[in-house]
Amino acid sequence: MKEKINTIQFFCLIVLFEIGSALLLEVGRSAGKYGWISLIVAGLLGCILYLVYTKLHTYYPSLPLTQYTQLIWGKHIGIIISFLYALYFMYMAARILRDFTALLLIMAYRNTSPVILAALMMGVCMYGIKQGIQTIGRVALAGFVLLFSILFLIIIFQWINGLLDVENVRPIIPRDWSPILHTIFPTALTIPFGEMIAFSMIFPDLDQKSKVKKIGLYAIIASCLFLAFSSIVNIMILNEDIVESSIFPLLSAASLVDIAHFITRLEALVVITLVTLGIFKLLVFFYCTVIGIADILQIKNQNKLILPIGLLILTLSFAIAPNYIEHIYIGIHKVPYYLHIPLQIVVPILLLLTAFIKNRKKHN
Amino acid sequence: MAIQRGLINENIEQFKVHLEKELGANSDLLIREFQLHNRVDLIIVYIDGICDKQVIETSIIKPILEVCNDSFYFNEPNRTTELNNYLKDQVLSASEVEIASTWDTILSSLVSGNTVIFFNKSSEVLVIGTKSIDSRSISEPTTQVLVRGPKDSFTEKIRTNSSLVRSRIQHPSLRIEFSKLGERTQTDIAILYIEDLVDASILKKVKEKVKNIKIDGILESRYIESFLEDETYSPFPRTFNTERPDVMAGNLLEGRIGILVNGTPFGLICPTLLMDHFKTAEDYYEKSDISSLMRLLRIFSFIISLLTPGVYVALVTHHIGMIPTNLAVSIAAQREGVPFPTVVEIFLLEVTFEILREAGIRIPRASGQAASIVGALIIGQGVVEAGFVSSVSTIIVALTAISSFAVPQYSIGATGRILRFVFLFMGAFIGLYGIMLSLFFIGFHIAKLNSFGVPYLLPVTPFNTAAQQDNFIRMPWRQMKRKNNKIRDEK
Repeated sequence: MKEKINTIQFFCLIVLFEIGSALLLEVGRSAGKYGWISLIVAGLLGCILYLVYTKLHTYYPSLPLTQYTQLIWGKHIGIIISFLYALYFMYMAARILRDFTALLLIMAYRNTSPVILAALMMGVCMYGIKQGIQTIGRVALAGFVLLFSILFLIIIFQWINGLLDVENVRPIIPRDWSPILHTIFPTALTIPFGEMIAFSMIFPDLDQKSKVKKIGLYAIIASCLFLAFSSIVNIMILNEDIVESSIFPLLSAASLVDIAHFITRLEALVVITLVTLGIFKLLVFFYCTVIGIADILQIKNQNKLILPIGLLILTLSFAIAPNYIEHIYIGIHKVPYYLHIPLQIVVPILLLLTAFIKNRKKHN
Repeated sequence: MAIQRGLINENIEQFKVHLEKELGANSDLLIREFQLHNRVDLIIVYIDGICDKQVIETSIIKPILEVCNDSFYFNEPNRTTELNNYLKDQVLSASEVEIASTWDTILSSLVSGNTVIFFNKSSEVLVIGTKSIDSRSISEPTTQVLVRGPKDSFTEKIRTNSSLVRSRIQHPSLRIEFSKLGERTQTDIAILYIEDLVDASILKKVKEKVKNIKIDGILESRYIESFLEDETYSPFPRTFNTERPDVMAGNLLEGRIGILVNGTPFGLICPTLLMDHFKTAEDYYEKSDISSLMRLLRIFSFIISLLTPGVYVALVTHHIGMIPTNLAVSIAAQREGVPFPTVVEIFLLEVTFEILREAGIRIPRASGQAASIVGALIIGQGVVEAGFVSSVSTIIVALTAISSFAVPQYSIGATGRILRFVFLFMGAFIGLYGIMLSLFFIGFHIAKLNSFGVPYLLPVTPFNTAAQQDNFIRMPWRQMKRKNNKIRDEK
């Protein structure tokens, strides 16, 4: 029998995935102090996008994305599209790994080889994938509780410390909407909300199929609200100039806490959140790559693929860009236009249209 | 020479030779011969020390001697079958009497302490239940001690143990099923469960696993334990052992299955989940508020004993900047002049502590004093004064040690002892990141584990709301719905 994850685990996994890199990289920061507006609007648009993915799922409830593309667009085009998706997930996993190793290097491991940092994380993820989606779901629940208790603790400390300055977020009504719109599309919509396309591979693993839509929407709204909240808190603490220039605003905001010279240097707690978020984001993309490629190559035993794909992602994470600056540049100026928009928005909508028409025909 | 183990059809002399061949010239094999003139001769065979001589004298020998002179059957040498039946039905006053006809049964009943009566040239023997092995009386538990609660504990004798459980659950639905395991030791084991509370599929799995055990000897319940666990290797214990009949009874009431093994006072309970290792019997005998707090304290101390050395080494080696300034300065001042890196320092102290602990268990009581002096004074104080290790490190190791003793179950404490070193080395190698990764690694490991199909982390993840009444905290008895606490096969 195939392993299933239950709705709570599914919710936790989505939230961890959604706030993953968005929280650490502070997606909304190009909109300055109005980052939270762009995050909320992007979240709502993300819900619409999610409805597209779930609608596709209702046509083929027991199949992952890479299989129903072949049913919708035929064997040949379908398999090419599936293959593109598998490569896309692999590339995203590599990007995530690169992001997190870079952040770790900046934070605490300036003298450590990035290869070791990345390889260790990859090793743990490989083990996690080997243990199966059910185990990942169970650990996601524990990770969710751990992560939110720590984030909550950090915010409480910041609040007690009197770091929150409401003046920094005023005025609330923006005068110029154009940076906000630019942040919403394509940046905030595609990362993290459009990345939900990865969950099209995981929908069939949910035990209550009827709840895919509801739970997913709850999770997206919850994570978008949390991201907006976190963005406001960071702006309050750091003001918009520092947030925009800082590589890692969450860390900068946490490191300011100093209560009675005893509760200080909360960077240790940030490392914990960083690792938790990194692992789950990587796990989801990694898992999607593995089942995607197993589908395309018709391999029954997915475990055989874990090691080669894992090593491929590890190598890829170093090969995709010569340095971190360029990595970020590609991430902001290339990836959204060449990868995210076509694969997260255009292809799913076209797939949905075709599936819709096909189904119509069948009924007639 | 192959010994034929078929039916018996011998005279007394042949029978005796055969016995000696099978059992060796044993000094504890006693053969009592009766030469009855003109009547059927008989011998009574038993092994000294494992049978009740009182029963043999009063319920076997005496009644036979009373009837042998005037009974009609004793005059008929060819009608031994009727003679056997006559004795079984009308003469012998022992409570267990059976008729056996093969050498296999004769031998197995002899070595288990039963008495065998053989009439000359008979094809059958009488087997009388006279098993009685001396055992110590019921005493206070020594490893699972409570302030409040029953003070009896299991003994080495399985019948006593099963009776202790039965006396606590006086309901017809309590099932105690006996069987024998171990090719050579033929150890009695009992499976205990409550018919209408137990999950049928778990029970089936347990029974199947017990049935399939192939082993030469079983001297302790651990022998069985390792067969009951799944094949996957894990440092985490997936069965629970107890020497307290009340704990066994309590667990049976939660729908678990108990296994008793003859010869050891430790009974097994399965399935067992991670959280069960942090529960003690006292949690249920004290008020719910204090027992809940104590349970949280135990979990906390387990985490401390697991992580403290690793986190300390990680912080001092890799993230000295993350320690609050004053503390960092004080640690640095104490470490001045210490010749070893922190990880070596902590590792040496941890190993020393493990040695002390092991020595403390094995040391003869008379020389225990010497060990504690060496441990406390020379290693504790001397090493710090000599400047080999800093006093912070001793404090860290002492904290770890004392927290590890706060964990009630020895088996999960042992898990902590092993994993502590993993965290220590990962912390030393790559700091907090390494510790987090190890935590996730262990997380992925135990989230997959299961005990007889029940997920090992059950009430926590996958989350079960109903079971939270007795998980991290224990609700007062009045608000506790025992039914909700039943353990179920989740798959």
